[in-house]
Amino acid sequence: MTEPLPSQAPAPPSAKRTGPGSGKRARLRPALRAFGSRLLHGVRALGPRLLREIRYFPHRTREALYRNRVSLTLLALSVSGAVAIFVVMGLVGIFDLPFIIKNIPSGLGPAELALEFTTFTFLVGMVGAIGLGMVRAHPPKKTTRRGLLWRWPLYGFASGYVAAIRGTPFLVQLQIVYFAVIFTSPRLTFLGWDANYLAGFAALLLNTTGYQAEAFRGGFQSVDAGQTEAGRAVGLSRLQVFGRITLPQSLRLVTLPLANEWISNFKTATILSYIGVIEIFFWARNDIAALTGRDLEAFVLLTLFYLIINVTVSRVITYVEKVRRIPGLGTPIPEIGISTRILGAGGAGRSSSR
Amino acid sequence: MSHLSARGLRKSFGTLEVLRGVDIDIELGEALCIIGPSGSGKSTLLRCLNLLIRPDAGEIYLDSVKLTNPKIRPEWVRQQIGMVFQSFNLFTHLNTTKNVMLGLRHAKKVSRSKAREKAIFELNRVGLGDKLDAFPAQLSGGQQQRVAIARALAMDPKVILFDEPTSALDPESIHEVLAVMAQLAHEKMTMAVVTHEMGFAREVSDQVVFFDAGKILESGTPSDIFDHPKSERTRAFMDKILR
Repeated sequence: MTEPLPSQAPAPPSAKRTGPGSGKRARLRPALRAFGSRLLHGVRALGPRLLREIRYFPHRTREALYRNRVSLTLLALSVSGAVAIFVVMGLVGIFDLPFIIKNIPSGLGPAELALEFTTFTFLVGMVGAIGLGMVRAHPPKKTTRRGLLWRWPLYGFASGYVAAIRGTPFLVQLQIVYFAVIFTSPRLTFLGWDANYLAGFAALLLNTTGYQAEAFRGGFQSVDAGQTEAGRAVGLSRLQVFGRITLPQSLRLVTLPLANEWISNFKTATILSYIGVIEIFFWARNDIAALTGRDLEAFVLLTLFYLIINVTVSRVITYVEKVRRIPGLGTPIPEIGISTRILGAGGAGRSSSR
Repeated sequence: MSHLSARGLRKSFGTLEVLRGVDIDIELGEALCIIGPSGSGKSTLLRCLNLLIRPDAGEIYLDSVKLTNPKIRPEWVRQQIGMVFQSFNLFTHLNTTKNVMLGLRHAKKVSRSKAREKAIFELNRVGLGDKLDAFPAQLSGGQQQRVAIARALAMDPKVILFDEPTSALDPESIHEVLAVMAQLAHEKMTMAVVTHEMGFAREVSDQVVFFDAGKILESGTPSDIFDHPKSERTRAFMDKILR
C-alpha cells in the first residue's frame, strides 16, 4: 500500500505552540491572517479538486453520496424544514431577514475578540496542560524512593487542580477570579485591557488548562508501554523517551479531543459576557436592548456566527486528521477520495489500512 | 571472569519472589539459551541484566564493570547490552530507518548522516534493505522483529538479550528471524536468548540453562541438557516438550 502524499492542508492549531503567548493583540492579527490565508488557499483549492474528482471519478462521488444516504437525507430534511419555518415566519411578519443581514458587520469585532480569547487561552493553556498531564500520567507508587518525596505533593496538586476545574461550573470559577482581581486591583490595565477583561482571560485560561490536562493525560497513557520500555532499552533517558516517543504519538492521539476542547472553550467564552466582556453574546444581547422587539432575529444571527465558526473548525480538524494520519497509529483510515473525506465514510467505510 | 555474569540476583514484586538467587555466566562470543516453564522469571532475569528492572540484591558484572553500582548510568549500560522484545516494540510513529537511528542519534549523539548509514547497513544485514521507508504497521511480524534486531545491532552492543523473540510470530516468520539470530551467533555475538524453540537451542547455542521457579536448576551444553538431563524436574520438562 503506498502512502499518499500529504496535501497542502493547513497546520492544525497545536502546531502553533511556539507562537506568542503574552496576549499582545498586535501579534495575533497577522498570525490569524496567515493561518486564515493558508486555510483559504486550501479551501479554494478544494473546489476545483472536488470538481475534478466529480468529473473524472464520478463513481467515487456517487459512492460517497450513496453510503451517506441516510444522514444526507436527514440533513436535507432538517435544513429544508428549518428554512421553511423561517420563510413562513418571514411571510407572516414575525421574522425579519434583512435585519439579520444588515447587522452581521457589527458582530465581526466582538467575534474577533471571542476568537482571540479562545485561541490564546487554548494555546497558553496547552503548555500548562502538558505539564499537568505528565504529572497525572505517572502516579507515584508506594515503592517510590525517599529522594522523590516531592512527587506526592506535586501529584496531589495536579489532581486537585484538575478535579476542581472539572467539578465546578465555569461561572463559579469566573466569579472567584473576577472578585479576586477586582478586590485586589480594581483599576488594573494591561495592553489596553481592563481588569474585567483580564479576569475573564485568566479564568478561561485556568479552565481550559484543567480540561486539556485530562486530554493529554489520556494521550500519554495510551501510548504503548512496550515502546517506552524499548526506548529505555536502547539507552534513551526518561526525558528523551517522553520527548521522542511518547509526546509525538500523543499529539496525534490527542488532536480530536483538543479540537473538541477548543470548540468547548469557544462556547464557554460566552459566559464572559456576564462580567462585561464585549464578545458575541454580549453584542447580541445589547443589540436587542438597543432595538427591542428583535430578540429572535438577534439570537438567530448569533447562532449563525457560532455555527459557522464551530462547524468550520470541526471540518478542518477532521480533514487534517485524515491527511496527517500515520498507518498503525489511531484509527486506520483507507485510501479515500475528497468527496468521501467531506461527506464521511458511512457505515461500511471503516476498514484496515493493510 | 566471564564476559557477562550475575551473582545472587534476587527480585520480589510485593510478596511474590520472582528471582531467588540466580548465578549466571556468559562467555564472550557465547550464545546462551534459557529455557523453562512460563512464569518462572526468565523475562525478569533478562530485564535485570540490562537494568530495566533493578534487582533487590545481587551483582551483575559486564567485562569486570560492576553494573549494579549506583554510580553507573543505566542509559550507558543499555547501550552496551541490547534487547529484543517478544512484542517487537517498534516505534510506530517512525519509519524503519528512523526506528533504527533513534538510539544512535539521541543516546549516542551520532550525527544524522552517520546514523543513517549505520541504520541502512544494519537493515541490509537483517535482509530488509528494500523496506527502509516503511512504517512498522506496513510490515509483517517477522519483518518487524528483524527491524527490532537491527535496532539493537545498530548500537554495537557487547551483548544482546532476546526475550522470546519468536513467541509472537507465525511459523513461517519464525524461521526468518531464527535465521538472523543463527547468523549472529555464527558471527560470535554474545547473546542470551529466552526461547521455546528447542530446535534453535539445540543447534545454535553453546550453553543451555534450565530455569524454573526463580532459580537455575541445571546448566550445560545442549546435548547435556536435552539428552542427559540430571534433575528430575528437567527430565519432566523435556518429556513434555520433546515428544
